[in-house]
Amino acid sequence: MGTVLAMAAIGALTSPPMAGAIVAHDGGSYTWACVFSGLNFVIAAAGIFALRGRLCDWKLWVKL
Amino acid sequence: MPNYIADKLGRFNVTIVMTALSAVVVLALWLPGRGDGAFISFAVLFGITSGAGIGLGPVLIASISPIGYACLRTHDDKYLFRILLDSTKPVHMLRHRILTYIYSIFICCKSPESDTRTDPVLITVEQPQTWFRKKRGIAGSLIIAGSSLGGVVFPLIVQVFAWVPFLPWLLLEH
Repeated sequence: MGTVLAMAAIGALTSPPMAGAIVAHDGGSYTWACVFSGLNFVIAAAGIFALRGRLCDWKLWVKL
Repeated sequence: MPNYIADKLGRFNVTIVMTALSAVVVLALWLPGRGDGAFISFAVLFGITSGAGIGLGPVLIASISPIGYACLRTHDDKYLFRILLDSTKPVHMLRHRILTYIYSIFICCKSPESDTRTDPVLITVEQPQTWFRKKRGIAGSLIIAGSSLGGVVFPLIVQVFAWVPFLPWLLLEH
């Protein structure tokens, strides 16, 4: 638990400045910051899906 | 609500769906959204989908960690820690010691030898995971909801007690 939270802290610390830099670079527009946010969710979903696949041998219809 | 469903249908399943839905809401509703209606809809939907992901995160970790296997209905931290030590490899113990040392320096200022579970965040997140098994999802969601509510209430309380000497300085708000 501590290891995962420590790793999550890196993302929580770095993402807001990155989003701010993207907004500043884009002249105050949130368009690319929105894309950055959406892509992070896509990557997160793919990571959890991969973890689930490892845990249940890639069986789709399993309660896990 | 998603966490309640997660206890019924599988926590990993619901987390994957909710995280993917978060991406959809961001890219399909926020990105092209114009007007107040779109943004209010986005706020409501994103709160549901992302909140489920945040609330289920510790639950998923507990499901695949030694804490999840211990799952003892006890509040005896020393006994629980002994179980954790017995069920982890030496490299995990070393990692735990390093993290404990970091926590003790930056968060609690305790001796690393005094107690291994010094981080209040870890204790708050971990303890219910060892207590609940069948309804761990809804329990985790209530903890995160309470934590979020605290984030809303705390600034209001600080405003009321702003006259207290040195309080703003203590909160580093000056």
